[in-house]
Amino acid sequence: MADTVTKTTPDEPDTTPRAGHEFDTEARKQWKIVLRRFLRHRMAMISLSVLVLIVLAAIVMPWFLPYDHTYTGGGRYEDPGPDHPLGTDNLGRDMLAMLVRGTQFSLLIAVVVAAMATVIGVTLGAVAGLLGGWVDTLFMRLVDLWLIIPQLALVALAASAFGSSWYLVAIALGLFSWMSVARINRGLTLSLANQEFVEAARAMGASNTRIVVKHILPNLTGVITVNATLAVATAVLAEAALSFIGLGVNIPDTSLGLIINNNYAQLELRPWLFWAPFLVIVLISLTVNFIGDGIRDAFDPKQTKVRA
Amino acid sequence: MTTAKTSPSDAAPAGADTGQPLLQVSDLVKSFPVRGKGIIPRTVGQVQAVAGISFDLRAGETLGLVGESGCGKSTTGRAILQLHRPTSGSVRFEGRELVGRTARQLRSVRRDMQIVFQDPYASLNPRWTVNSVVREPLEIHHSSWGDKRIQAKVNNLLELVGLNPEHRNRFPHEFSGGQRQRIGIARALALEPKLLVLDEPVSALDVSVQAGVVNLLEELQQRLNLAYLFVAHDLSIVRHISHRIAVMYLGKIVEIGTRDEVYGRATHPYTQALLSAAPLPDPKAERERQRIVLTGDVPSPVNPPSGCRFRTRCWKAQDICATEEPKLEARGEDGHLSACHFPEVRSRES
Amino acid sequence: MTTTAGDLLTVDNLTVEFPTDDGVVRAVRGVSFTLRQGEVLGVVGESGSGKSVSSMAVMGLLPRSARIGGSIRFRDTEIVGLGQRQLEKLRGNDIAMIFQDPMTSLNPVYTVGWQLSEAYRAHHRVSKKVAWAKAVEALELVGIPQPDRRAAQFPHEFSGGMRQRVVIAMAIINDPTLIIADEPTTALDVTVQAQVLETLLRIRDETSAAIMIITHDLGVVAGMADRVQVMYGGTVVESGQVDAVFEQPRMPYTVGLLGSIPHPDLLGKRLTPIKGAPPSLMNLPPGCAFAPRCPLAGPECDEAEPELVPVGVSGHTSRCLKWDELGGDDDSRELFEHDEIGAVENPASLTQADPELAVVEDVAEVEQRMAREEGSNP
Repeated sequence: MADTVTKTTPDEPDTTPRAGHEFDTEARKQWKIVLRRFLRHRMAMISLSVLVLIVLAAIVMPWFLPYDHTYTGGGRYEDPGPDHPLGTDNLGRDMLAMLVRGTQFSLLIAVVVAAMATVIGVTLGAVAGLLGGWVDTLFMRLVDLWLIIPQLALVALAASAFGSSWYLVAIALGLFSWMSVARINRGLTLSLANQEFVEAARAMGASNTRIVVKHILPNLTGVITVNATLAVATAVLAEAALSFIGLGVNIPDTSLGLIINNNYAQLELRPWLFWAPFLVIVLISLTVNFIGDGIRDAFDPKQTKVRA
Repeated sequence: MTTAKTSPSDAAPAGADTGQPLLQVSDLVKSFPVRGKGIIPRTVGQVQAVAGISFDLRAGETLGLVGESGCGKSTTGRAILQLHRPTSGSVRFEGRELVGRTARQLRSVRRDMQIVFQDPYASLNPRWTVNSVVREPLEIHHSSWGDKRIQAKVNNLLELVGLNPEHRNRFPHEFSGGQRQRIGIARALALEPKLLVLDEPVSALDVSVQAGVVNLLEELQQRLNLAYLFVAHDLSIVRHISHRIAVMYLGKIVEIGTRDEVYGRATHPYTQALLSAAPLPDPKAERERQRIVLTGDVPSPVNPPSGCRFRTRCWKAQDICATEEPKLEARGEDGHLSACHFPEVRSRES
Repeated sequence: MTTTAGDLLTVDNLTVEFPTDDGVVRAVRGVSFTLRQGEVLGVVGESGSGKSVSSMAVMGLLPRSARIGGSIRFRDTEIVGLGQRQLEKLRGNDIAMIFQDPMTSLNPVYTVGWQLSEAYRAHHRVSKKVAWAKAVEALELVGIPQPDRRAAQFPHEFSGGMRQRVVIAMAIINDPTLIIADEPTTALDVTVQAQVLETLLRIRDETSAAIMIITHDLGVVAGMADRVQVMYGGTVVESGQVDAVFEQPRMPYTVGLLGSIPHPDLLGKRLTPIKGAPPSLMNLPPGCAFAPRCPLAGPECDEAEPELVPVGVSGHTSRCLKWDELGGDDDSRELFEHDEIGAVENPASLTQADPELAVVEDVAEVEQRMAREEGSNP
């Protein structure tokens, strides 16, 4: 083959030494469009600011608080006061310090879960969608199977076998949250794989790896990002639920769900002990959802221009 | 005007001297499985989209492949490029068999055969700049070239198809349909192929723009000695661009011949009906002409009629048409190939 | 515009605008025409010419965001500004519409007969039985064999051409006086297209309904229409009897359009496309919308949009200042001849945003300039 290829002599004038650089700036241009549309999304921007505040608080506040979450000073309930702005729980732990620590762990778990769900889901979905045939059938049956496994029972088993620390909770949750991501990505990949530009790449002799990395994944970014944010929101709730029934993070550490579990009996007497963590959970999942909405709208190509 | 970087004499394949066709297709069959439903889908039948077709294509020649939707003309193009693996039959390119080769073995052949798609919107990755679109084939096949040489080639290609290389960093959506189709053509030409499969390359474009792309294709053919397999349903454009024409119906070629033979002295009733049904932009001719209006629709390829596949809609059909399949062979006076038991040139005005 | 007897539809100075984030899309500008009983009007134009939007306006089908100006009179009813209720009374009864895609115009979960009889019962107070009989009758009228059996079938049991006939049956079941067909055969094959067009013409003969057929295919118009209306950039640029417009086009755009279609006489010769791209409806040139692509354009063409003026006999009009320079037997190839290959076009986005920008540039010039730039910043 090699002898028939080069019909052209490389005598063209040297045109653009800066081509690569130019391409980068132009590629960024499209991201700029997406970013601009995102910045215009009011709910998403408000949500983003609130979420950033929460995250910053969770990271920075421990240094300024006089107590950490292991402090058990009084050993009994105390009402909110200058010493303990949100009071203490039955063991005398400072509620504000607990809340900060809990938020840290809840967010940490949520991010790990979202990352796992995205990586597993996107990989399986893209491979199944592109290869099709028996690989596709196998993977999708795997998803069906995974969906009918009683998740709670397995997590309970794992918790009793390995004890429960935050990363075990995260991994357990992550292993059970990739299925919808896989399904969505498989569907999208399937339709992308039938697009002519993918066929064109194939006609050029591009390998499957190249097609996935260069053609499919970039076109999935929008959906992947949206789903990842939604997975964060779901994971915060799921972790809270697990911890609430005692299968999640354990004492001495804490998470938002565990705080609620410890204090829901006080809903009548000391409502702030329940409402404070509850409010943080709702805020996190709400803001993350709105941010996801904003990202989805920003990526939506239909929003670009109306042509008659 | 830049000089053509590849002069026709350079591009003419060595095989052309010996009279060997660039592409030889014989008894090509492509069937798709019909799957049932269930946990593990089972194949319950086969659809023959392409049911055994044969033709040759020479360097620098255009073969028009016409037919209605579902006749298998697009599948034929893809099966030749091995984008759809043929079920049986043979596709020989410069004498080498392509059917049954592995993806790796095909890679080197891919350089010589490229495809231009119908939809200039779907055939370009929307997230890529024009530059990266045209670069891609060069990066795959000429990774050793180095950035400078590849970039020079890309600029060259953009000029060749009538686009300003300065605009290479723009995205496909910034271009009009016709310009996008030119980008697709530049990409297909990047590897200096000898054969282009043109799958309805202008049917998605506005009328006033189609002509520009057709002109470009004709000029490129002359300059680069390209062979075209021009798949289309628009008879007037096929007539304009093709040297020879093959008419397909339900996965089979029913008539094949030179432009004048097929358009002037068609012997197959389906070809005649197709030609008479195409509307002409001329009110007088439209009023005067005798139109053959076929009854019914194309039958399902899952269960094609026995014998001649066209007999269910044919006004000439006799008993023999149901029992015996007419062979594609020389019939009539000029001896071009037609697959009809009762070939006859239709006497018609203009 | 005065209404004379027999005028079914009178559109006067119709304007449709869509406000969007990026600006106002002026989809239809100052369109006026009349349609008489039993007449077939062909509306031709390329994508973005406003041909579909104007027909949607007649049907009252435009989205709420659209700003509509001017007047559309159907018999004695003004359609612009009409309430939803009154529109529904007209729609499907006096005015019927046939859409491009027969698959999406039929509901897949109901039988064809049921959908047809519902369409009839929407405007007639009759029993289901009577309506069903009417449905079968309509199917027979559009040439569907065994209509009584076919009526009990679902849309997916029909082939493409048959489905489009069902859509036509649905359109004519209430004996409309005006049928608007928006690209009715674009999704169909040539041999089936011939059948459907024939059906439409037969229905015109039998019911004397007026037909407004919107298409990009000049061949369809030539074979079907009595009068033709060529649209470009949101407005009518030429209209008249089919013979007059096709034989003696008086607008360079029409000349270019006709010249860019391959024709047996042009075998072995180059086709003559119209250079450049249609204008953006958001950013129209100040003068004639076609001026940036027109070979005849002079400075006067950029000053103001020309009026639609009568040119010759029987209502032939053209929106061109230089219509009399087009004799009719001009060779469109000479008119539109330009060196296209080797000439470089700018992206559509550039030429549309700024019509003043040079559309054609020489490769040699580009190369020189690039070389200069290379030299100046190494």
